[in-house]
Amino acid sequence: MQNIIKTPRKKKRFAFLALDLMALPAVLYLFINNYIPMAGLFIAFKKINYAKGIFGSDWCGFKNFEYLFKTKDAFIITRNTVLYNLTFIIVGITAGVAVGILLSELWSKRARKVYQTTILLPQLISWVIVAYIGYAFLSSATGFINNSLLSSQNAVNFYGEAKYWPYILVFANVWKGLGYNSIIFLSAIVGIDRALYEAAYVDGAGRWKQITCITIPMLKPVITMLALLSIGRIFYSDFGLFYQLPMNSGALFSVTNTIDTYVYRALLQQNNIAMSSAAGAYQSCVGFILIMLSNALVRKLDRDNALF
Amino acid sequence: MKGPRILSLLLTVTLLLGLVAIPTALADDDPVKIVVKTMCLGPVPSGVAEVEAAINEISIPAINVEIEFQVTSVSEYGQQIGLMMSSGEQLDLVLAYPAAPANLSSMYSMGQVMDLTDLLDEYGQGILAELAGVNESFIDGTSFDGSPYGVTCLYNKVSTQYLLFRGDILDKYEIDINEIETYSDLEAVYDIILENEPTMIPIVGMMQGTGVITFRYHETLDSIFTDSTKYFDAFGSAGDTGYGIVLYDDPYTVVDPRKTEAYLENLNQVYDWYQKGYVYKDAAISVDMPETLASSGNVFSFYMGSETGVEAVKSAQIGYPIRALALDQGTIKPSMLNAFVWCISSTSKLPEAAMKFMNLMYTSDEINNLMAWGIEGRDYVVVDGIATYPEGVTSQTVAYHTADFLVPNQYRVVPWEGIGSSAELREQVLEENLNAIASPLLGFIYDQSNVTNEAAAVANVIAEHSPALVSGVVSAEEGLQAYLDDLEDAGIDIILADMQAQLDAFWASKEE
Repeated sequence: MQNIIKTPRKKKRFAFLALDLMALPAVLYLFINNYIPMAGLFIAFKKINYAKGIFGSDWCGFKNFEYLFKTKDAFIITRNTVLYNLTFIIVGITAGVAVGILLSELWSKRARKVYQTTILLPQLISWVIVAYIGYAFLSSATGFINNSLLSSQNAVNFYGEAKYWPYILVFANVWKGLGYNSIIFLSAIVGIDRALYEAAYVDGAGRWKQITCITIPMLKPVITMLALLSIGRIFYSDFGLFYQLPMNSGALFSVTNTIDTYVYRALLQQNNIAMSSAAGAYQSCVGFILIMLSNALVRKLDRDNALF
Repeated sequence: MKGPRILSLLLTVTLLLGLVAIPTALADDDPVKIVVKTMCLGPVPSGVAEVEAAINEISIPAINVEIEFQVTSVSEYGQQIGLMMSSGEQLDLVLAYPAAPANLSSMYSMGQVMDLTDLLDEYGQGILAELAGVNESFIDGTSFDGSPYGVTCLYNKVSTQYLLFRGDILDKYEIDINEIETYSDLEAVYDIILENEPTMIPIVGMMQGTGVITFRYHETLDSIFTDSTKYFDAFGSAGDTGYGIVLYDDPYTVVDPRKTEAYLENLNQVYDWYQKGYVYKDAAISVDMPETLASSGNVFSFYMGSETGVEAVKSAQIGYPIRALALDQGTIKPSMLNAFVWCISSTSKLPEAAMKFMNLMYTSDEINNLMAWGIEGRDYVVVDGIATYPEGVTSQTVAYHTADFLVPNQYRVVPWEGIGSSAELREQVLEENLNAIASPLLGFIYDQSNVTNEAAAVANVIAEHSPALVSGVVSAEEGLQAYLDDLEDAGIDIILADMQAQLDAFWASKEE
């Protein structure tokens, strides 16, 4: 009784061909936009002289990487980048899951749409605008906090004191990314079979127990995937967040300087594309190694949730 | 079932076709076509095409060269030049401007500009004649190792330090700026402002990190005027004082400006003013030029280095009457010479044509007026030897209007109307340029390509410490030593030693 319906070979091949062709434009785009430029890594190892052209310039080994490590700021910028990213991953995912669960509990579909849109709005605002919104609150001369909330003796020079900024930056990043994260989790939650909740209710589980025993375990694949992808970008930082929001204030560098902002400031006057390529190469190579390692780790612990 | 399959096939084929670029047929005309790239201060004007056509009408019959006139906004200018060079796009004549990455020094160290010695001799005699008419040594200001790599734009090169004030406020309280000679006088004026105009800020800083009071040596501790025996030039685009300075009365030594007494005095002065409430509280982080802040109407004064005629220019720019108090005599600095420079790109395949056109640019009245003010009749009219907007056209609606310091030869451009603008002013300016104190260091440009790592580290240290110190937020007592220590760790001494070596080589080549 097997193979009652035998699909002729030709039809099968054509079916696959159609799928391949559909994927072709996207694959081509990925190839042209993401894979071909990888060849540009070689710029990081050359001393660029436009008179000789980019391809004809001399090789100079790892010289272009030195400025990243020789400086005494090297530890600070690496520490800041990595720690902030870890914090953003943890806090971002927690907040995203919490808000996603809250949104899924809403009865009114309209209310859900309204809340979703409002929470998503900050994601669409550029960091420059957010920086000026922050400026309106935190500025010494005309800011809301200094001039309306605190009296003049208690005025705080926010842009001159570093200690407030870790909190301000984490808050700003969560505020901005919440909409995007919560939508991802919300769509995953909506996909969970309602029958499970009904069975749990019958067994006497309260709302909280339902969340911790059903929702969160079912979200584990999504959380793991997001976390792994974020780990791959752990040496990158959101330039707008770390440069624009603190208004590029020097006094805050110990807590706001990351690899990207350091490279930007260092090379602003120099126009040295080799050195900036070196920074990019450093970040992507480290990110690649980390993502391979963490994926291998996840595969060992929980085969199904690994990325690949 | 067939329908969707065929549809998806069609869709894919269409998408793929979109990837194929249809080559445009290149017309192979007789005139040689070069690309001339320049900048404009605001958004790109709409009327560039007609200006390009008008210029071509002159250049094709004269030298058989056709130009593509590319005008880019200043905000993207630097990046575009870099991109054009690295992508191999045609670029022949390009205007270098004062900021990296498209300034002469950076472009030279990256090998982006061509040596002009032979080209000038063969096709550039007109340029050399024009330079001789103003000041022969100007060509040295854009030379490296004795060879010229660009020709400076000819305009008023004498720069003076000014204190600029709101003229209407001065009149309101009957303050005569010519009576201000010391910091005590100035503070008395600021006290009047603080008392009577609560929303007005007495003094704002120059752009972020460059300070409130320009760094100079003063005649006496209290005098606001610069000590005329202690003029200096700063080198290196870093912070408010560059990497190092060289004094005119000892032009063989590089001095670290941040370790001088004068610097400490300046810092103390600014800190004192900040405490008294004269200084804009956000001076350390402000990203706006003082003119932008002033056009809001709430700024009373600011420092600025500028040229003769500054009152007219700033009043027009800010929208309130501005009066200027000169703090020194006016000198010709190397930085004025390599601010706006016309160069030939090293990637150019048509350098002879480019030089022929450059020669025409410098010697032709019509081309200079076209590049500055646009088409006569549409963008400007000449009344009594002064150019002005035609009836019904304003600075918002004009199709093409840039500044006359961006053109090769301002002396050939009809002066624009403004307070004190006239043919006499031009005469005065030419006089000044011929007779001004020229820096002994004209022709010395510091090339930082040997110290890229240290420059990168120093740039971060300066960005970290300098703004707060020079804006008066942090006192010298608290912050200066940490700043100096960090600079040392970053390698400022290596940079200064490199600068000294280049300076020694410069003097040695001058002896020959």
